[in-house]
Amino acid sequence: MHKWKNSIFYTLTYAYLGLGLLPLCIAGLLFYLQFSRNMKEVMLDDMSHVVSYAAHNVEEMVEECNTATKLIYDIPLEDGRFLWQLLKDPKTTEARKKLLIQSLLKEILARDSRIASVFFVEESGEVYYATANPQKVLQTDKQKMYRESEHTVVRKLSLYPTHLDDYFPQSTNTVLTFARPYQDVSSLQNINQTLGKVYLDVSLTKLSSVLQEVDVTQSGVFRLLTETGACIYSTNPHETGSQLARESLSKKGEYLVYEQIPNCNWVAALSVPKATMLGNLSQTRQSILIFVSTAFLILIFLYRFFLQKIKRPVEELEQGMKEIRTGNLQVRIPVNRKDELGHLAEGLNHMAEELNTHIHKVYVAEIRQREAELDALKSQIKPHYLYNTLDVIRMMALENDEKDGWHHVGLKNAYDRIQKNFGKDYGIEIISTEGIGTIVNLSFPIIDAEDSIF
Amino acid sequence: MNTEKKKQRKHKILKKQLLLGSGVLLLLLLLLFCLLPALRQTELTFSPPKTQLRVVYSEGDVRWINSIEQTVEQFMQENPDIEVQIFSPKEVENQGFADRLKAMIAQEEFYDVVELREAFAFAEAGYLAELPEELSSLIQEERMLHSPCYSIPRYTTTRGVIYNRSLFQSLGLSEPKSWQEFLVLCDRLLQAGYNPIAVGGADLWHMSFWGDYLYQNYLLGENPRELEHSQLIEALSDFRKLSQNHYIASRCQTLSDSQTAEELASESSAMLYSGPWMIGQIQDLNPKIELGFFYLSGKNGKTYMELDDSVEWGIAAESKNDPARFAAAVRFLKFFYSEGHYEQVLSNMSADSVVRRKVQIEETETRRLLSAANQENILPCDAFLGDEATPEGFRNFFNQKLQEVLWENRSLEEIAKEVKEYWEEGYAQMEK
Repeated sequence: MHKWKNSIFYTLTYAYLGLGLLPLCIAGLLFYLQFSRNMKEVMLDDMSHVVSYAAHNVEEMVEECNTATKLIYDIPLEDGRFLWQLLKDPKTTEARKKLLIQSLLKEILARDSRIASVFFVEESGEVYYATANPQKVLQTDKQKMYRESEHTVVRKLSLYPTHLDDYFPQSTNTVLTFARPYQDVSSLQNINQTLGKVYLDVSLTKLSSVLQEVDVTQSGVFRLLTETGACIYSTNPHETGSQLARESLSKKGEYLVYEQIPNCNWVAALSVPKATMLGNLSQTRQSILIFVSTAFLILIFLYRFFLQKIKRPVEELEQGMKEIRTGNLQVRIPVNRKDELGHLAEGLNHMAEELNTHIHKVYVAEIRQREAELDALKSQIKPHYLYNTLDVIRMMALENDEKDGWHHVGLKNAYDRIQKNFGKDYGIEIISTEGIGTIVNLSFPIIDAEDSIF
Repeated sequence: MNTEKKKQRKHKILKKQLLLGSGVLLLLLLLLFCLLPALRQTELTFSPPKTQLRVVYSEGDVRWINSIEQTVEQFMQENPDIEVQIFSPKEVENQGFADRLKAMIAQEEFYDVVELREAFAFAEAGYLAELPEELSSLIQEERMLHSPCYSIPRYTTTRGVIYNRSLFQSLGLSEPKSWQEFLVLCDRLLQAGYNPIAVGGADLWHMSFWGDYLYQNYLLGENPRELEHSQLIEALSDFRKLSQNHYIASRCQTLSDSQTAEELASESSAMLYSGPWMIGQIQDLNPKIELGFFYLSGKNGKTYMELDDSVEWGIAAESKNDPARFAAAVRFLKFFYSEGHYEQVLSNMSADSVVRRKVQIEETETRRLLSAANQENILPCDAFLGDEATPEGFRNFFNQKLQEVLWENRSLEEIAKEVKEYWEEGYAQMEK
């Protein structure tokens, strides 16, 4: 363990994991989370754009209908007067009045093909109307019911929820109704007096046509609602014209984006199931996870593979170095590769060889030198000098009467050395016994007669 | 010795580990530091919503439309916290601008800054907010007749006859000094093959130019309450003669006010009874034309110079419920009368100032013409139909009757009777 901790590979692994993979994983995870959040925001943003565009189109349509209701103030009657002048004129007969008012209503009807019917109801309750289909006959009581039903009012414009215009028998048109009171504009003092009310039944196709321009489906449900939850329009046809509970608008597992339309106080709402909206996102997320995990595993595997590839030759190098350090210059590291490690092994082998050679040379040179020195020394030593020396030593020992003293020891040593170094060459055999009585047998090779002392 | 070495080695290893660990931690912190701003959800910065302001104006005159659009554009540049929506009620046949404003009230669309006709009537009925002193103090004192102040005049202008000077010179004609001379002039022009007088008969409000002329020269008596029948008949009769004698071509029945400029520019017609703002429009259409201007004398020998400041600005009473909108409306009007901008408007409309401060206006050819026309015998007159002395709605009613006088065969007695009845009823309402 201690050895592994000291290894450079430990540091490398530690650095690879701690400074490489781990931050990469953390960064990857964080970016992945951010990507998910961004994608969700983009999709919600997209939804809100769809709702805004749809709301804008609806606002324009409502404004068109609003303008149509104001025509009651603008269009003169056939006789050049305005409606308030007719209504305040007691001299006009009922028949003439009806004729003039119907003519006015027809003119309003003609302004937009999607206006199904126009009604004018006097304060007295008298109803005048014009329809696209002149065969229709109005059931006034039934129509009165709708007039009195719940509606939104924004700046004098009344907006009635979607309903069937079944006050015309056998009619199955689904319509929206816009209404506006008709004030007495004869003078500023009278403006607050209401002379009647104009109603416009607008076909629901006018609304659906403006919404068709916008892709409001997106696998979700688009609704137009009043403040009280009445469904003006829904891409789910069963909901149109019905009252919706708040809970039904936003179910669990759905995103709901909505926007209020200012000129009518309707709410445009789009609800899309989360699974549908994030469907593509889940796939992308999975792909990212798989990719990142695979990349992580591959990196680990590659690291391990290359680590092994590098570690073994380094260990071999290390082992080789140890052998060399211990003096084994014969060791050779196998060279199986041509990369840096191969060069290093080659170099080490070469170094060992060179060292070996060098040492051998030095050793041999040294030996030779010593031998030469010894020879030189030997050549200087005469046997009788040796004998005399030994004798002197013996005599000194005897004089001192030493058995174990320095001289004895020194003599012994000298004898040993001489035996060793010169014994062979000179046939010296020195026998030393304990005590003074030392017998020295010297046998000398017959080198020279001069050298002989006997 | 060995123990020491071991200790030193351990110490080195520990130091290395500490360094490495610190490095890792630092890197992680750096990473977090770099990533966190990207990870933090984008803080939504909401700029405060702009105050919405509506300005209601009349769309009849091209130069006035330009003036309004320029005013709004420059105002919004200088006041980025306010968004102005300009709105002009649609012109409806036989309805004057005041009638359109009434329809807007009926539709609950009468709000913020409003250009007014018969402003006093709207104030009396409670549809205008009292203006703060910072606005009323801008206007010349002599014009502020009422306190509290509910409306302030836009500017002051006049009306007279704009004529083709070159044509006059070529025919040897000169500016008439009396009504009779005027009729002779018309005859000469007719004989020369020109339509003497262009009239924008399709626009009801254009008829008010002649309506005011007739009122000032025939109907205005010592007692403004009274409308003399005989004077009325005379006025209508003299006016009818203009069309009967073909001094006003029948095609003028369908001409709009802006088309009358074309009539003069193309030299189809020789004269136009209108205001000085038309001079620039005619010259724009025909830069080579030489124009003149004179005040039309009345049959009574008097020549009046109208001082018309009847068009006013007011702020709708509804706007007072929203302090931000009311404040924005006050800022808009102050900007309208501000130094530099007001001068532009006056120059564009060839009008005169109504503000207290000194106003330097560029001397233009139009102003030279007006100065030349303002001779010693000219009498200033600030009485006109639609002022406080006339019943509400009478101006437009009278304009309709003038159309009938020119182009219908109805008896003048009948028409005069209707006019008088309307006048009487209107006054009765006023006195209630």
